[in-house]
Amino acid sequence: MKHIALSILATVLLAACTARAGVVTLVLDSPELSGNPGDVLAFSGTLTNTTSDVVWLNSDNFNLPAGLDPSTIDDSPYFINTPTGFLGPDGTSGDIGLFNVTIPTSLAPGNYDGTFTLLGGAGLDSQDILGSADFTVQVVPSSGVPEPGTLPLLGFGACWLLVWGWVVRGIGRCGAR
Amino acid sequence: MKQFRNLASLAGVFLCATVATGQVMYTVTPLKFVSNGKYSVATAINNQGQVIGWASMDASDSSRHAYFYSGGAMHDLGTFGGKFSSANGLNNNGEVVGNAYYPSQSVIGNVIVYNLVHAFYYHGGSLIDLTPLSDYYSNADSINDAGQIAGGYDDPNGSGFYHAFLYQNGSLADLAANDGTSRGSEALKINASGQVVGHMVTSPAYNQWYGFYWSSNVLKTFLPEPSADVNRINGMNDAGQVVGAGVNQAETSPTYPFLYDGNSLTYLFSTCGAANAINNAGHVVGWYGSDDCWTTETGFLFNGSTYSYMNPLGTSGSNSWLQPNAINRFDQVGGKTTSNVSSAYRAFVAYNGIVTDLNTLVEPSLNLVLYNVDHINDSGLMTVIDYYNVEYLLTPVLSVASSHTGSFTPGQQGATYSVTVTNAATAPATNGTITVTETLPSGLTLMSMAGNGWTCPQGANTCTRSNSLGPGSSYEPITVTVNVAAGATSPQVNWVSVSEGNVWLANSSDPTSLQVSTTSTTTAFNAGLTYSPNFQNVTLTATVTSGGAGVNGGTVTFNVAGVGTVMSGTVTNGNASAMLVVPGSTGVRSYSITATYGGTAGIAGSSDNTKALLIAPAQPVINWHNPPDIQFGSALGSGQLNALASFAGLTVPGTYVYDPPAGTVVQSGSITLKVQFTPLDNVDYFTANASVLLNVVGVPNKLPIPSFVLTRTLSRGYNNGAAINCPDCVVVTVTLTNIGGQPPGAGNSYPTAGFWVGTKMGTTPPWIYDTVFTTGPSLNEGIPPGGTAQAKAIWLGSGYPSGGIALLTIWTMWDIDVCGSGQIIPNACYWSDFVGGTSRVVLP
Repeated sequence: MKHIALSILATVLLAACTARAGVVTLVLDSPELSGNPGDVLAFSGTLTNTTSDVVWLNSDNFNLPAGLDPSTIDDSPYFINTPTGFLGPDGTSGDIGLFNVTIPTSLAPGNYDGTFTLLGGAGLDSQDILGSADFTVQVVPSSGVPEPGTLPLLGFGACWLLVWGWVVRGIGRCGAR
Repeated sequence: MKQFRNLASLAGVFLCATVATGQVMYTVTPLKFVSNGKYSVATAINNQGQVIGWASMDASDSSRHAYFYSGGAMHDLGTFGGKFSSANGLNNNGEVVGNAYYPSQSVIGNVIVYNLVHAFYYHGGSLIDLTPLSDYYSNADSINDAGQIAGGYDDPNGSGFYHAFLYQNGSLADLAANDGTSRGSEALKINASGQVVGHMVTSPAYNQWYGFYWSSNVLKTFLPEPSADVNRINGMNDAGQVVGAGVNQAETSPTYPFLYDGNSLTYLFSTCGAANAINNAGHVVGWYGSDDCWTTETGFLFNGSTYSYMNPLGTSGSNSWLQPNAINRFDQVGGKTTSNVSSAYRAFVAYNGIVTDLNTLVEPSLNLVLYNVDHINDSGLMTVIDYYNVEYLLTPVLSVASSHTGSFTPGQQGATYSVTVTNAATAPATNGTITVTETLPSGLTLMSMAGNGWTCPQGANTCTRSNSLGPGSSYEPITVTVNVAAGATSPQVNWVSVSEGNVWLANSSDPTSLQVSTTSTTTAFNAGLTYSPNFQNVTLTATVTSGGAGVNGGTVTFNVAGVGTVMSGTVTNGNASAMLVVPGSTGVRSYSITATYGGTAGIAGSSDNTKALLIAPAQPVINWHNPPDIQFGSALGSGQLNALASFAGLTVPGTYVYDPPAGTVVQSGSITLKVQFTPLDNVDYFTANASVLLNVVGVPNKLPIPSFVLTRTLSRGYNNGAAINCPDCVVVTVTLTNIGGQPPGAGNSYPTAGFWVGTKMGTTPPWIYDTVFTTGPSLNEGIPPGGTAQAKAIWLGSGYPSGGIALLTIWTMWDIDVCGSGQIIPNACYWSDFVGGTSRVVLP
């Protein structure tokens, strides 16, 4: 059974690599957006089916940089703006909103690089990589500096989130060790 | 009793001393310092014809000095300042031991000593005091050819007793020091093996005498004496056999002749008598008496198994006595006997049972009364004391000599000796049958004897002739032809003897060196070699000896199996050397070197020695220099891992194993790169190791992080066989695939991941946010690049209709322990990030 699973996975990966070669072209309007801590950055772009077949848009996938966690990502625009769930042959989505990033208030200034990936394929169950695009969240210092007393609270909140998740899974980790 | 008999004999001399006439066969030399010296005594004669003893310094015997007769002259050994000295022991090197007086009053240390007597050692022309610091008596009795001296001394350490000593290598050892019962002892004789015999007293009453026998540091006693009589130890040969006269426990006779071999004592006769001398063949001479121990005394010669006897030449009154006193290697015997000529003892010489009055064999005009033979050496020279207590050296007028040319060789056939008989210039012409007898050593076999005028029976070892030989003349030589045994050792000593009539007169030795044909060849070389692909020179050396001496002449050929053969030049002083060129790439192993000596005149060749030439593996040199600095994040490659092994300027093929290996992204800082080189030719080369330092500079802004994709498949129904059996549950199988790169830092772990609890699920439209994955296996496994991890999450509950569309959001957090080989992220070991997203799924 395990061998069968690995074979399937290998097939998926092989297919993903193929799709990534150009099943869907994902072009972000602005791969790098700037903002202050607390700002919401809206990434948008255009999806283009490069094949003559219907491509189902079943999933998205984020690789987040350190400092950004799932709570900062809102990918509902992508699903809302692709209501049919597919792109027709050689079809395009037009310029649509894809996802929003809320810059954590405690995030230090700097560039935070991530990857946005589309998965899907020929059917509703397909999970092939269709295309991907790197994005950068550029955090610029805000004009105001947080009160010293708020920093521990912010840190506590982030830590609580991590602890909650990992403890439930039996893996208690929080912060650097 | 013995003293009484001697007195009786002396009385007889005075009464009826006469001299018989006969053929003069001996010349007579008085052993006196001055012609009118009153007395002299000989205590020893060696095989060089040297004699020692003491002699009066004047007619009144006011003083006596030790003498050393050598080269036809008497040498006064002097004293330590006193009037008296005596020489007691002599070896074949002309070294003498004895005792000598200090002045009548001497100061030793701060003690005034009167008439002090000390043992001396005459060596190098002067007397050496063996106990110079002692103010007590000492005496040296015997010395062997090795210079070991036996004697006795008053123990200066306070015991107050006289102890036997052994003096050697400049120091004196007390042989009885460890014997707590010893009350007095003296070492009398020492043989060539360093064995010592003497006597000692062990009882506090001084009446319990023993013989003692000291050999290899072990002291034994023998011959216990039950009363105050003193046993006599008369001789010891080089085999350690001791003879003498001893009483037995029954004391049925004054003394019995005994033979002691170091372990057991044998009385040779059950009647009185004495064993007086023994030669190195173990032949014993002595006498035994009649039952009354008075009427007769008969001489005997015991050869270890049988006895032969010598009868007195006549009687003295009612007594008929003969006492042998000395024996040499040819069983020539000397002593004293009663005769019909006078009532006094007459000195005799005997051979093969034939007893001859020595007084009949010397010039009658000398009017000597030769009384007793004290000593006889292997050449037939004798010291004989006369009735007036003056000692004479008797030398046979006939001499015999053997000569040969050069050296013999083992296995040689037909080697020859030339044997010549000569009459002394002052002697009369011979008047009897002259017989020459050959006595060959074991390594020589007699083939023939022949000479003009000689009759030499075939197969016999003798030649005879009867024509008279005038004074100062020699017979034509006898040619003795011998074969040399193949295994004969050097030297071989040929002895020849001459007799006139029934009198065995003189013997002569002819030591013959054998040039041992089997030379001893020894090889050695300057050093072992190390394998090389190039040729090498190695010097081979050999020593060639023959008879223990280095050989001159001839050459040595060295053959190194599988390498080559070279020949040395002339062997000089036993040494030979040659240069061997070892071809390049001669493999590692031990090569057998045979050194063969070709021989030279008189010396046979040999090849009796084999050595090894060892070629050891070579150690390759790793040429590897510190590579240029690299930027952090760069993988190791040929720019850094470029070691090269070589030897003797040539590259050595093989494999290189680097640590860390190529492709590794190492941490920043100074990194040690190592390589182990394994040569393809692992016989001739050793493995090699090397290391260099690499500086990794800079840290990139964005680390080469892993990248993941989460995919999901859905199914319905879950039963773990235990707590949960939920046929309607939705099961999400999540696969996390690492599509990114290698975590930076050699040795760092792969990323691990777990479900992110923020998973949410909803339908479209409307969104449903009421669902949370509540449990599921951890994805806490290392995921290498290209690897996957998989887990299931169970959406508990019901009411989710099949075919419905939902949005399923799943996040995972991964982390990496990046401190495996050093910290690459400032202040942190764990590096973590999130991966996840949302799927539009159709409920199964």
